[in-house]
Amino acid sequence: MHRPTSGRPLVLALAAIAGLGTMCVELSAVRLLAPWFGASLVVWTNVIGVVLLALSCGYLLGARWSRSTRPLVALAWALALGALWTGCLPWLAPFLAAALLPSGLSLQAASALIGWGSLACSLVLFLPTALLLGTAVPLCTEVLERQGKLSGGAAGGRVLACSTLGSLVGTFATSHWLLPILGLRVTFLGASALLLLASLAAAWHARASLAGAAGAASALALGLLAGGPAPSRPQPPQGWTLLEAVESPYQSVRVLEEPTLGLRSLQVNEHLDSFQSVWAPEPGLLGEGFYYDGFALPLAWTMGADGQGTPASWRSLVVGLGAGTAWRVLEGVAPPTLELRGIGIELDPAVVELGQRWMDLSLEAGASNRVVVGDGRAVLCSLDSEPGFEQVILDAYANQTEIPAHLSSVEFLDLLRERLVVGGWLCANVGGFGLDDPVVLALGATMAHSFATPVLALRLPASRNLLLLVRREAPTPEPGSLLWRDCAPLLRGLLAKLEVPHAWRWIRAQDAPLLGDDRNPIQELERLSLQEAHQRWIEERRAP
Amino acid sequence: MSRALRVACCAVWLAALAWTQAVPARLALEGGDYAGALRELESEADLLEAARVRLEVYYLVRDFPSTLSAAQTLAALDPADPRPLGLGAAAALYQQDGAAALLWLQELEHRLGQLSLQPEARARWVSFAEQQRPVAELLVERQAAQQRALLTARIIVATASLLVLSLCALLVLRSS
Repeated sequence: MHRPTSGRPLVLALAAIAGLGTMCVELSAVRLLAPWFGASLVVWTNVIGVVLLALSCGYLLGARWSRSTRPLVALAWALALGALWTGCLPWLAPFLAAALLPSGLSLQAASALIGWGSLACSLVLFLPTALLLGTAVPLCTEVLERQGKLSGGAAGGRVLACSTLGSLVGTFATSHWLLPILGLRVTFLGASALLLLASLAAAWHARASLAGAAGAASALALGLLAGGPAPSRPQPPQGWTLLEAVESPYQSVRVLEEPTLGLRSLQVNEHLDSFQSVWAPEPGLLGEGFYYDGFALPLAWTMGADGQGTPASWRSLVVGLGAGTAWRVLEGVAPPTLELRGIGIELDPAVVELGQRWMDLSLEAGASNRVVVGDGRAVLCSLDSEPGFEQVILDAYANQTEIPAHLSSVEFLDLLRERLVVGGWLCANVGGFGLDDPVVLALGATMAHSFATPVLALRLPASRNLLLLVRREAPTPEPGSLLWRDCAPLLRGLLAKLEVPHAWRWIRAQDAPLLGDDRNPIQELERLSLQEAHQRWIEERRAP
Repeated sequence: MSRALRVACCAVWLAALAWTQAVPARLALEGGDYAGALRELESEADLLEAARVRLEVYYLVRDFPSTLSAAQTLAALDPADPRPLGLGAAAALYQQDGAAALLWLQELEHRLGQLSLQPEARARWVSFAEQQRPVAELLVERQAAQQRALLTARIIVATASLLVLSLCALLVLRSS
C-alpha cells in the first residue's frame, strides 16, 4: 500500500480549502440564482438544503473512496472535478435558470416556479460541487490515519477542525470581500482556481500524473472560460432598455428606461413584474399602476380642496427609500410655498447611488432631503433628536414580496408612531392580492393595535399594491365622507376610484394575529398570500 | 299659452323627468363619482342600463374580477352590444389571463360578424380585437411555458432525488 510519510500540514490545508470552497459556492449560489429566482427564504432554504444533502452524500462517497490504495489521488481527482464544475457555474446557471423561469411571468404565475425552479437549479448546479468537496473530509482523515501517527479519532478531529475553519474563512471572505468587491464571476473563478491549486498539490504529493494532468486540463478550461464572453443575464422586458446594472452587497440592481414615456424603473433580483422605484421626467403623480401616488394623499387632505390648509412645512420619513420616488411624487403635489423636508432610510448604498445617477435623487449639502444608509430599524433608533414627522412612509421590502419581520412588528410600529407629530400619518405600502390578503390583514391589524385605532386599507387601481393609512391620535378620513373629499384637486381622480366598495376597508386590531418581535409569521403569510392569489386567479377566470 | 307650446313644455318636462329618473347613475359615472353611480344603481329600474353602468364603473376603477362578472351579465342581457366583450377581454388581459382574453376576443369577433354596427364603430372594434389578440396569444404562450418549466423542474427534482438516494443506498449497502 502506498503510504506517504509526511505532508500532514498539506493534507489539513486541503481539508481547509475544500471547506472554504464549499462555503464560497454555497453563499455565492443564491446570488447566482437571484436575477431569476430572487434571494428569498425559499431560495436560501433550497440552496442550503441541497448543499447539506450533497455534503452528506460526499462523506459517504469519500468513505468509499478512502478504501482505495491511494486516497490522496482520489482527493486530487475530486478537487479537480469540483474546481472545473465551480468555474463553469456562472456560465451554466443562466441557461438552466432561464429555462426554468421563462421571462415575462407575473409574480403570482411565477410563485410556484420560484420554489421548484430554484430547487431544481440547486440540485443540478451546486450538488456536484458540494458532493465532490464533501469527499475531502473522509479522504483527508484516511490519509492522516494511514500515516500511522494519528488514531482515526484524532485524525478525523483535526481534519474536521481545519475543514470547519476553512468554511469559516470562506463564509466571511465571500460575504464581506469577494462578492461585494470582485463580483460573482471572479468569485466563482477564484474559488475554482484555489481548488485547482489544491488538486495539483495533492496530485504532486501523491505523484499522480494522471490526476495532475486532469488538474492542468481543468486549469486550461477555466482560463478559456475566464477569457471568454461574460455570462448572460435576464433580458429587459420588451420596450425597455437597460441603462445600468450593478451587483450590490445585497442584490442585483438595474435601471431600465421606457423611451416613449421616458419612465425609468429600478428593479432588483428577479423583479418579475415589480419595481422598487419609478422615475418620470417631471416630479408629481405617476399615474395608474404606480402605488407611489397614494403617498401624496395625506398631504392632499391636509392642504384641503381650496388649499387653505397648506402647512408651511411638511417633514417626511421614508423607511425603504429606494431611489427616492416617493419624494418626487410629494414634490409634484406640494405648492411652491410649502417647504418639503425629508429623511430617507435605505439599506443598499448601490440603490442610492443609482438614484443619484438616474433618478434625480439630490443629496448635495443644503438639499431638503437627507438619506441615511442602513437598516430601517437600526437607523430609526438613532433619529431620537429629530423633530416629529408629519408623514412616515413605510415601504421596506427585501426582494419582491418579503417585508422584513423586524420592520413589521408591533414594536417597530410603536417606534414609528413615536416619530410622528400628533395628527401625523403613517402610510405603509403592502404588496397583496386584495383587501382580505393575509399579509395586508396582519400588518393592518398590527398597525391598528399600535395606533389604537382602525387602519384604512386602500386597494390601488391596476396595481398589486395596497396602501395602509392611519393617523396618530386623529381620525383617518372615511371614503366618501366630507373629510375624504376635502382634498387637493390633483388627487380627486384617485380618490373617486378608491371610494367604491371593494376598494377599501377598515382593519381592526382583532382582524388578524398580531405581528411581534417574539412571534412574527410574516413570511409564512407571504407564502400563503401568493398561494391564495394563484388559486383565486384560477377561480376568478371568466369567459363570455 | 298656445297648445303647441304646452305640448312642447310637456314633452320637455317628460324628457327631463325620464332623464333624471332613468340616468342618475350614468350622470354620476360621467361626473367621475363612481361610488355614487354604484349607489344609484340600487334604485335603477332599467336592468340593461344598470348593467352597462356597473360594467363601466368597475372597469374604470380597475376592479377586474367585478368587471368580468359585469361583462358576463351584460353580454347575456344585450347580445347586440360589443362593449362588454371588449371590456371583458381588456379585464382578462389586465389579469394576465391570456386564455380567457382569447375567448372574449373570439366571441367579440364572432358577434361583430353578426351585428349591424356603424362603420366607424365596427372598424374600432375590429381594430381593438386585432391589437389585443397578439397580446392574449403571448400570454397564453407564457402560461404554457410556465407549465412546461414547472413540469421540467419537478422532473429534475424527482430524478436528482432518486439518483442521490440510490447512490447513498449503494454506498451504505456496499460498505456493510
